[in-house]
Amino acid sequence: MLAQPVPAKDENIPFLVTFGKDAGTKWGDDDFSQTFFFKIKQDFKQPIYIRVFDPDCSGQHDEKNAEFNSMTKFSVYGGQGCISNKDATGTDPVGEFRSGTLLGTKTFGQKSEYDNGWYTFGPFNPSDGELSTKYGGYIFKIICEGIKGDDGNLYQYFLTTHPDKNIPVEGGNAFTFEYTFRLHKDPYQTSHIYPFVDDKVVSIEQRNFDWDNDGFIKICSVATLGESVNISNENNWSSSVYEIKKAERGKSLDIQFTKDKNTSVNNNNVVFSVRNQYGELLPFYVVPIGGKPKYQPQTKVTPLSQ
Amino acid sequence: MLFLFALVANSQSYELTPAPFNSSEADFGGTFYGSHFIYSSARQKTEITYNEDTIHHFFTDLFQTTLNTEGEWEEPTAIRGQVNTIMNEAQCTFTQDGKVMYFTGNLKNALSQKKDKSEKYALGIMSAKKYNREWILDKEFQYNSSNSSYSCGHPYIANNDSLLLFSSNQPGGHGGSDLYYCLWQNNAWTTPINFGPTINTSGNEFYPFIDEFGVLYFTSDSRKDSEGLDIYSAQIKEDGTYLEPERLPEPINSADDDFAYSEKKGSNRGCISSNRDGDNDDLYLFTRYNDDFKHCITNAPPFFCYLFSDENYPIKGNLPYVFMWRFNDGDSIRGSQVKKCFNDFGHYTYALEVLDTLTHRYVMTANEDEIEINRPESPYIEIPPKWSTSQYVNGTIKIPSALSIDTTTLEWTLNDRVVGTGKQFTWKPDTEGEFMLNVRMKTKGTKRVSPKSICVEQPIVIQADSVHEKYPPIIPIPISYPEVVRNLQGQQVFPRYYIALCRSTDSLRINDPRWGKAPKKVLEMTNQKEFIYVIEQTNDMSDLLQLFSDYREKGYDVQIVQSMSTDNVYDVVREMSSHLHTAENQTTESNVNKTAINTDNTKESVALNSNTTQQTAPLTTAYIATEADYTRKVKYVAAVMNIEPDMNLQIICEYSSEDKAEAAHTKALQIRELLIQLHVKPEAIAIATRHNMKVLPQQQIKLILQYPFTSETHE
Repeated sequence: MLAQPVPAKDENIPFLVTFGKDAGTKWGDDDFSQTFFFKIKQDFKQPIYIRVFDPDCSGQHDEKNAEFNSMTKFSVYGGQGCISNKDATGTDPVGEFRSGTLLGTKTFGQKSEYDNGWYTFGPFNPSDGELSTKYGGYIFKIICEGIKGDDGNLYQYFLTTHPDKNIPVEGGNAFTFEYTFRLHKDPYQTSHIYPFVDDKVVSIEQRNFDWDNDGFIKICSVATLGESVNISNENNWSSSVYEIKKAERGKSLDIQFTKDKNTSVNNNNVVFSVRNQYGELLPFYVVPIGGKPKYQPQTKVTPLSQ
Repeated sequence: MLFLFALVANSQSYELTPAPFNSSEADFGGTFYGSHFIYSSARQKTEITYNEDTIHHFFTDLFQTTLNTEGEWEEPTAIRGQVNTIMNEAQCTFTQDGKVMYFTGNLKNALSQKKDKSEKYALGIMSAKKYNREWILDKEFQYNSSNSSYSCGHPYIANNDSLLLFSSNQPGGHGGSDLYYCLWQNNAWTTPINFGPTINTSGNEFYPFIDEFGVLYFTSDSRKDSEGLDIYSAQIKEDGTYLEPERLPEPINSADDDFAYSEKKGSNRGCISSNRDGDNDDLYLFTRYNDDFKHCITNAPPFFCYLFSDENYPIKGNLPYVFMWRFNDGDSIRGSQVKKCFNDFGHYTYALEVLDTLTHRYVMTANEDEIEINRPESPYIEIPPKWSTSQYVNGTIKIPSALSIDTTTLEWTLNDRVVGTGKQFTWKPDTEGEFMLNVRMKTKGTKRVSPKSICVEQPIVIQADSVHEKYPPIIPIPISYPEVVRNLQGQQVFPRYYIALCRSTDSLRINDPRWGKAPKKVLEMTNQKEFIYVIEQTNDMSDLLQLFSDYREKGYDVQIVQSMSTDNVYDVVREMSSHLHTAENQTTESNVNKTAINTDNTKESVALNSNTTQQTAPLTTAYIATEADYTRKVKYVAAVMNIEPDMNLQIICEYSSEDKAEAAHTKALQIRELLIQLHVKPEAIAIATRHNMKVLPQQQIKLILQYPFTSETHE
C-alpha cells in the first residue's frame, strides 16, 4: 500500500474543492471546509511531509466567481484528540473539529508562486500524530477552510517522505468522512470513492449534495453490479438507504459518479457522505481497504428440458 | 363417450394397505383431489331429534386428508363450508378446475317430511362451489327424485367435465340400483342414460369410476362371481360399448364386501373400501404393479440446454449493463439470463462478461466455469414432460451402446396400459391429465445369464389445447433503467405504466366486439391526446414486466404505455367490458387483438409492438415520444427490445409542419448518437425525416424507431 496522492489515482477525481465562506452553497460546497486524515504505520520512523498542490485560489484550476478574492487556510494537526475527539470525525466544521495539536498552518490568497505548484507542511515525526488503534497507526489531520471570499479552491494533497518530491509513504493511507470534490468535465470519466464497510454494518445511508442531477451515482461492490442511488439537484441534499449484503462486509464499496453524457454539467462539485445504521460515518479511504471491489457474479446454470 | 382404447398390461398385481387415517367408525368411498383425498366417515356422532326422542346417531360427513411433502397423510378434518349437515353426506367428485364438487346427500324434501328414526331417507346428488376455501351449496342435480321415491348418488365426473356417471334405483332400470351417465350439452346435463345390461344386473351396481383410458370400474353385488359387494372393471371397445366386466383379483376383492374403487390420476395408486377387517367399512390404499416391472428407474435424460443467469443481478433497480456469455464452442449470447443448447456430449466452458454502458467499461470478465455433459449409463426417454391435447405425443427410447437390449421386448405403457412397442412412441391424447409413461424392456439373455427386466418411467402432463402453441413464451427482459425518474425541473416523478390492448387518437366504439373478448375488464383512458385501452396498470416497472410477459404468453399482443411526467396523466373515461373470457374464446380473441393493434400511420404509433413470433420476420416499432427526455426513452426502448450492435434499424422522424424539419433532423441525429453509445454500429442506423400532416400539431415531431430494417425500405 503506497500513499498517497489525495485524490488517489483509482478514485479518478481531479481535485478536492473548498469554497470561500462567502460563496453560496449552490456552488457545491455545503460547509466551506474539508478535513482529511493521513495514517502512518506505527513502525514507520522517517520524517513525513504533507504537500498541497495549488493551494492558492487563483490562476489555474481554481473556480473563479467574478474576481478571485478568496483566502484558504490549511492547518495540520497531530497529537492527542487529533482524531479521537468526536467533533473531528463529523461532517460539519462544528465544536472542536480543530482538535489536537496544531503542527502547522498557512493561509493562501492569490499568490502566483503557489499557482499550479506545491506547498509543503513538515517535516513531521510520525509520532507527532495521534496513535490510534482503531485506525491502525499515527494519524495526522489536515483541515482546509475557505476563510474569505467566494471562489472555489481546487487542490490536491500528497503524503510524502521528501519535502520537494512526491515519494509515497509505505503503508500510509488517507481518509475522510465527508468528501467534497470536483468532477471531470469529460462525461466519459467516472469518479470513484471507496467507503469501508466493517462487520457490524447492516445498511448504509448515503447523502449527496448539489449533484445537479448530472447523471448517475451508483453503488458497486463484490456483490452488486450497480445500484443507482437517489441523487440531488442544484443546492439540495438527497439520500437513500442501501442494504449491505453479507459478502460486502469487511470490504470497501465503490461509489461511482457517472455524468450524463447528454446534459453534462460543467464544473460540477459534489459533497458525499455515508453513515451506517447507527448513524456513524464510514471512512472513505483513498486507497480502498481490501482493494478495489470487483463484482463477482453468482452464476447459476439450470438444466432445461429441450 | 370417447376414450383412449388401450389394453391392460398383463400380469398386474396390487399391493394393499389399510389407510392410516381410518377411524374406529365407518370410513369409505372417496376420491383423489390434487394431493387431497375426500371420503365419507361416520367418525363424528350427531345428536338428532325425532319428534320427542333425542338420540345420538352416526351420520356420515365428508372428511379431507392431505398427503404432505414427507409422504404422510395428515389428520383428517371435516371439509369446510355448508356441505356437511346433520344428515348423511358421502361420495363426491370434482370438476377439472377443482372449483365445483358434486356429492351424495340426503334429499332435503325427504328430510323435511320428518318421518321417524327407522325411516330410510332417499339420496340425491348435490353440487357445491368453492369460495375462499369453503364449499358453498349450489344446487341439486335436476334428475334427483322430486318426491324422494328413489335415490341418486355416487357421482363421478370424467372426460373433461363432459360426462357424469352415477348410480340410481330410479324406475326403468334393470333392477336394484343401476349405473347411469349424463353428457354435458348446452350448459346442462342430458337425460340419464342407462349403461345397459352388460354392466347393470338385476341386483345393485354402485360407485362408478372411469380411468384416463376409459376403463370403467364399479361395484356390484349380483354378478355370477360376486361374493357380496365386489369391484369389477370393464374395458371399453372401439365402438364405445363395453366388454364383459371382470372381477378384479385379490387383494382388491375379498370374501367380504369390497367397493368404491378410485385411482389417483396419473399414477398407479388408488383406494378401495372394504369391511374385510371387521364390521365397519375401512379404506384401503393400493398400488398397482406390472409384476415384471415393479421398480422403474426415473428417466434421466442428459441435458443439452441450460439457462445461464447471475443470481446477484436483480431485475429491479439496476443500471444499463450488457451481459455477454461466451462459450468455448464459439457461441456468444447477450442477456443477463440466456438459454444455451449444446450439440453433443462433452466438456464445455463458459465465461461471463459484463459491460457498463454508462462508463463503456467492462465491469467483470472471464469468470470461466465448466459444464460436463456425460453419456448416461441407463436407457432414457427423450420426451418433453408437457404436451397439449392438440399435439401428437412423441417419444424415443435411447439405449446406451454398452447395454444389450432385446428390442423386440420394448413396450411403452401409460399408467400400466400398453400403448406402443419399439424404440419410438406416438400417441394422440384425447383428454388432459397426468400420466405415467413407462418404457419396459429386457436385456438379451445368454446361456449363463437370464434376461434382466429394465423399466424407465417419466411422468407426462397433457394440458388442454390453448393459445400457448401459437405464441411462444416471452422471457422477461430486465429493463436497465433507473427507478428514479425526474422531470426537467429535477423533481422526482413516478411513472405510471399501463398494459394496453391498443391505442388510438379517436375513441373506439363501446360495442366493438373485441372488448367482449378481452382477457378482463378494459378501461378506456385518455390524456387528451389519445385513447388507450388498458387491462392492467402499475407503478412498479418490475410488475409491468411480469404482467406484460404473462399476457404475451397468453397470446395477447399487448403494448406497454408509459406516462412519464405529471402533466401526461391518463384518466379513466369508461369501462368497456367486465366479463371474463372463456378458454375457447382465447384463441380467436388473441387474433382479434393482434389485428386490433394500431399500425396505421394515421393514428398514433404503438408504444411497443414487438411481434416475437418466430414464423414471420417481425418489424418492431418503438414510439420514442417527443418530450425533451427522450434520452431515457431511447435507453428504455433499447433495453426492452434488446437491440443488438449488428441490428439494422431506422429512425423515422415525422414533423407536423415544414418549419420543424430541421429540428426533427437534429433530434434524429441525437438519437443516432445515443444508439451509437449503446453500441449500435453507426453504419447500421438509417435516418428518415418526413413531413406528415397526421402528426398532431401539439406534438410537432414524432420519433419512431424500427428494426430490423432493410435498405430496400430506406427512405
